[in-house]
Amino acid sequence: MPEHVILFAGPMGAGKTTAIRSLSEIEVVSTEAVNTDLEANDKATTTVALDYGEISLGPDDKVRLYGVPGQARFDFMWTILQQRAMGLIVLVNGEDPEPERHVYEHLTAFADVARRGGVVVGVTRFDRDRSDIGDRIVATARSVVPDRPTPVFAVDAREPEQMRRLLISLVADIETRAALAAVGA
Amino acid sequence: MMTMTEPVAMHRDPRIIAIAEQALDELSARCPTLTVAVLLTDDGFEVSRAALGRESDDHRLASMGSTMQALGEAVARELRLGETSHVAVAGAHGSMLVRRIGELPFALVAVFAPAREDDGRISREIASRLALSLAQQS
Repeated sequence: MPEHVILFAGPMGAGKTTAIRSLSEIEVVSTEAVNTDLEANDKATTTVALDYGEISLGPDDKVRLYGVPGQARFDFMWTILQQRAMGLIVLVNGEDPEPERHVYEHLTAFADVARRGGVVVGVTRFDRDRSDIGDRIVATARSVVPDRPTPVFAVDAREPEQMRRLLISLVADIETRAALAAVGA
Repeated sequence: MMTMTEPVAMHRDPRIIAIAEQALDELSARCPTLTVAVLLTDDGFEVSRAALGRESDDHRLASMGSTMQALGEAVARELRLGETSHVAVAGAHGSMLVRRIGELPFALVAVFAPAREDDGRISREIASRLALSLAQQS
């Protein structure tokens, strides 16, 4: 199986860097800078280039994990990093008033990856009392990627096992689609 | 009664902007082939800009400078190269330098076309003085 390149996209503070640190078997290459605009977001640091980690899902199944900057002023990195990617994990913060808006923005920006490979959405800090969030996100994802269902999971980016499950579900989806395409299905 | 002052983001702080403008004016005066220079925050916000010789359409220079600096520092860490003084890109028609401002969360990005031998030294001198001036503000 060739190496997979998987992108982690989503707004600032959704948990992309944390997720890659949870998953990676190597020391993660991070490019975090001091967040100087605390009015906009009170997070201490923000990714300005990429995060990079690696994980093996089997003896011949190496996955390269790239986290992209969450802020749109770094969208040139979105263009660069999505060229080789086969899968996309969109992470959004469930405490955000409109997490589906970020799902829309990032699925639109990374639509090529979502169509040629696979995509899953992870909702971090999911509040069970806001039961409508899941439906709103599923509906939004369907509007951007109408030709296939986009799985949506509630996840804790700090939990390696949960992130691993999310990643395996994405890789399985990519491989199934590739196998079907190979037989002309 | 106590009044709470809203924190001002660094790239909108008039005192920081005034210091940055002064430094960029000096860089422009001493480097005749400078085409554009920007003082930026570590996280890619433009504080001030000096543009000469062409339309300033590179609105992403601050964010690209931030990315370049962070990537350069990440590579230096991986290769154990020690503290990075600057990151440079050399093209056929000019060069781009990104230089951290002391240990502060600022960087200077400057584009020279064509590149000249003195650009590096002059930008280093100005960045050092800028570091002292900005440190006094904080």
